[in-house]
Amino acid sequence: MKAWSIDYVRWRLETAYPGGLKYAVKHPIKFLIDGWNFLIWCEKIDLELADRGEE
Amino acid sequence: MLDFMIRDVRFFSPIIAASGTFGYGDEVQEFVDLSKIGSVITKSITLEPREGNPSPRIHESNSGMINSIGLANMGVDSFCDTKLDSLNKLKTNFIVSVAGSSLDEYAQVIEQIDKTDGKHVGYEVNISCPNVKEGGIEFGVNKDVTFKLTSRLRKLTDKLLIIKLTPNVTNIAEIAQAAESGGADAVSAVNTFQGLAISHKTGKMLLSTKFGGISGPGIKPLALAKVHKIYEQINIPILGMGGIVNCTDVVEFLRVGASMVQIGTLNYRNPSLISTIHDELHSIMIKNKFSKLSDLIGAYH
Repeated sequence: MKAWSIDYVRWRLETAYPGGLKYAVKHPIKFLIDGWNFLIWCEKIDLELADRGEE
Repeated sequence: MLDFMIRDVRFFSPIIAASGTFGYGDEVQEFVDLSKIGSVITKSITLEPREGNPSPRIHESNSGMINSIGLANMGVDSFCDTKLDSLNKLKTNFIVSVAGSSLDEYAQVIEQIDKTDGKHVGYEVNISCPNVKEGGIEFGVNKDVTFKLTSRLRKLTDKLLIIKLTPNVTNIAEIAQAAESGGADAVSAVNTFQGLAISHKTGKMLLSTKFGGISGPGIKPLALAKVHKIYEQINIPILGMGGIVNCTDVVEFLRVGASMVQIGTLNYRNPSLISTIHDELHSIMIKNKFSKLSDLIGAYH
């Protein structure tokens, strides 16, 4: 995630929200909750990847 | 060893970034090794700019995600003016995904992009869009409409024409056949499966549009079955997709009939992982003494 470019982050926000960054700024709590849910999801996908690797 | 030709276009890897999962394509070039990806497919481009569906439009599920982004994109004018130059400099092929709400819209988008000096090798036609003139029924659920759309677009361009099939049909093979008869060079199989997410606590829907498209590791067996069915009925290449997260998944898709594969949801976790899959696939080929991709493509059948 550290390597993500600004353009990429902007696009990710535009994908998640109509209006992208503006929407995130106007709805900070929602943005934080969504960000937290995304991190949990990343962990789940990592577990999935690890399980597949052991097959 | 890993290169593949569709008509006269050479892809040096069978691994493709699925539409929209790398943005327009140029957003990732600074931190993803694009030389290990056969092609990037852009976000779907429509005639007019679209902001997409209201939030929430992505819901993370246990083994993937459900989305109803609603084709958010800058529209074909801005795409041609602001993106094509940058995409022309990518270190890999790029394919433009196109979408529309009528046959005319699809045609206008392709006509407009085809007039530019874009170095795109082809178009992927997203036929999972509602046909406004036919009451909102998706183009891709009807074989006659699929044939009509494909044959019309075929007349407009010499570049590759790839039809992206929806899995939400009774007989996907007949839709693939219609695309082939209409002049498609390949089909992508499959787009997302229709799904729904609801909160058990509040009873509220978790997507603003209620329904969305499911993608991610959970759909892989479903997608493999669709590719298997299509392979037996058509003679053009299949770009298999649905839940691929590593190189063994790629091999499974190739064995049931895909010639190339697309990776989508994994890119939301980490867009850099896709380039490692290329290296892993190369190693698997050597380890199992496969000299070329065609040794694997459809090997099961």
